Amino acid sequence: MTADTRHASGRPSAARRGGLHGAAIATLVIGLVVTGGLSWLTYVINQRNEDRLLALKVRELGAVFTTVLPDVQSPLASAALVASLTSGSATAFARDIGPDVGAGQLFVSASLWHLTASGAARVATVGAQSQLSPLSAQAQSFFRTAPLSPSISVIGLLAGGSPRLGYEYNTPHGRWAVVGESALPSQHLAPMSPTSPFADLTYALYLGRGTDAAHLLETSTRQLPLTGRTARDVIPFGGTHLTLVARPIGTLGGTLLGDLPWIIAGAGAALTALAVLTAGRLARRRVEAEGLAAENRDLYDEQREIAETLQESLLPRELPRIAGVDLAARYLPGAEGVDVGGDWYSAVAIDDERFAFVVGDVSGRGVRAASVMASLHYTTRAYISLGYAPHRVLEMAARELHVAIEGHFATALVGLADRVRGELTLASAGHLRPLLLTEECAEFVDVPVGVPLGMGPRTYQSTTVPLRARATLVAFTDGLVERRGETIEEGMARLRKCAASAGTAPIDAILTTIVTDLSTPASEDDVALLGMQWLN
Amino acid sequence: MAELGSGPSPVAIRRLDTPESAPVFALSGELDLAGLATVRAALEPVLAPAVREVVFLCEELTFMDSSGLVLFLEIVDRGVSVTLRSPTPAVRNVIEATGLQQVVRMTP
Repeated sequence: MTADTRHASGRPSAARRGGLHGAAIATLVIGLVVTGGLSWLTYVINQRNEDRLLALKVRELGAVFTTVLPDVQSPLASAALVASLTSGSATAFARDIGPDVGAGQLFVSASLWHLTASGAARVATVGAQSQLSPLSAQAQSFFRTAPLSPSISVIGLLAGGSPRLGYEYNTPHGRWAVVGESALPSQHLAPMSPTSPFADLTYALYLGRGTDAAHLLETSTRQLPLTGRTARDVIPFGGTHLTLVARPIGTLGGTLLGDLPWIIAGAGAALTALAVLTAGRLARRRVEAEGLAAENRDLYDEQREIAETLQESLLPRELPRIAGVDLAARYLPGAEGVDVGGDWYSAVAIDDERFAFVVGDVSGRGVRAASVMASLHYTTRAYISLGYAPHRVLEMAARELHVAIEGHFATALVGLADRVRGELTLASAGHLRPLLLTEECAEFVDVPVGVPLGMGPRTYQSTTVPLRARATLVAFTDGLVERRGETIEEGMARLRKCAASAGTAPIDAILTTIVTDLSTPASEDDVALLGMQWLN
Repeated sequence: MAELGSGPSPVAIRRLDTPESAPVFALSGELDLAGLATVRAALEPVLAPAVREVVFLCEELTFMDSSGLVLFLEIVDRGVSVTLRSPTPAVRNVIEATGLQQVVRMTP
């Protein structure tokens, strides 16, 4: 039985272990989803921020590149004016533009051109040799379409030994034009200065609207075209356009913002792990608690069963057969869910003429009370079977029990019947008086009640009553007459009335009537009844 | 059932302030196994070795089973005399039925 219950309590807890994993897994999934969601959100916000910052920076950088135009325009405009006033004097031209031409100056080469209806002719050159040939398709095409207004125009990239960018400015009447040729950086490479506000950008600047390698002006990298996160800006530039493409080096919004998704992911993962551990531990604790409760329940049932078995085994299965006397007994356990009580009874034949009996009640309930009852049961049984007088039996039994040690006391009624003498001798240790039924009446035998067992050695008195034929004695424990809301006297009066109505029926029928009439389903206390009927 | 109450009312114990030398406690309600521990706990600090007598005012103790007897017997067993003052019939009957008037004194 023990092994079975343990087994039974083990199985559901094993089933609940699935719930344990379920809780941990649910926590893990929720934690990861929340962490992933937050990380993703942060990432998206950061990306948008980066895009926005990059677009802003590219626009700013583009503006910086266009500031070169006014610088280039003024010397060219000045030289064009001089040429117009001097009718194309090469000397005057060279004197005017000379300071701005040379290595490290605005232009590496500057030339004066005379524009006629038949075409453009170069009149004078200052600095390095011009890379714009008058016969070239580039020159002819440009001068044919050049606007006849005093404004700077970009001719384009000039092919030659080293890449140059050509600018042009002509006089209002379109007779004279000045061409300035600016050197582009070697291999178009112009790294950003580390102190520049644009040091965190990789860029490429093209002439025109496209990003064709042939139109590259300058760049900070050899790896072209730029890929990845790039921004582009197209800026009007001297009759044509500049196209700027840039890519950030690292993050523009600061490393914290860039790392935030990772920080959130890391912290979220750590928190999730912690939550999973906690959920697992809580679930495990609950499983343990449930297991413990089930075990307690099993133990409680087990204990109750042991106590019940103990008590049942202590009560006589069969009453002795005694010549001339019918014996009957009843035992009614108290309400379900309450510990077993300590009520007992026994009857013993001493010889052909005499028999003795005990009805007793150990106070309190539970296994301890049952074990005290067992001890008293056997002690008194031994004494009565030897034929001791009832008060002597109680006096000897009184030495066996001590309320301060056992925590229980006991009441007991001992009787010794002598068939030949027609006498019944009774002694009581705090026990309720037995009911004697005759053909005439039903009354409680006036037994001198001594102190209950458990108060140390005491003296008791026996009383002897005469027995008549068909006399019936019913000894019982207090559970039969004790009820909340009424006194024991009232209960006993009820018992007497009920037994009197049963009259001289056989003893078994009388006990059945009493039990049926007096016990209630809600009776808390155990009830023991021992009845005996003298036949003649 | 012919009971008047709707359910058991738990026992209550209260120490009375009296000029007597013996401590006096008022018991009320129903004294059974469930209430035994309550009463024991209330008495324990009072039952010093010097105390020779304890008085219980029982006029409001409506029910008592063997648990009450255990309580009184335990006290008597320590050499302390127990007096029940104004016991209700329910209490008086239990004491008399079990012969305890020999060890527990009852006064009106």
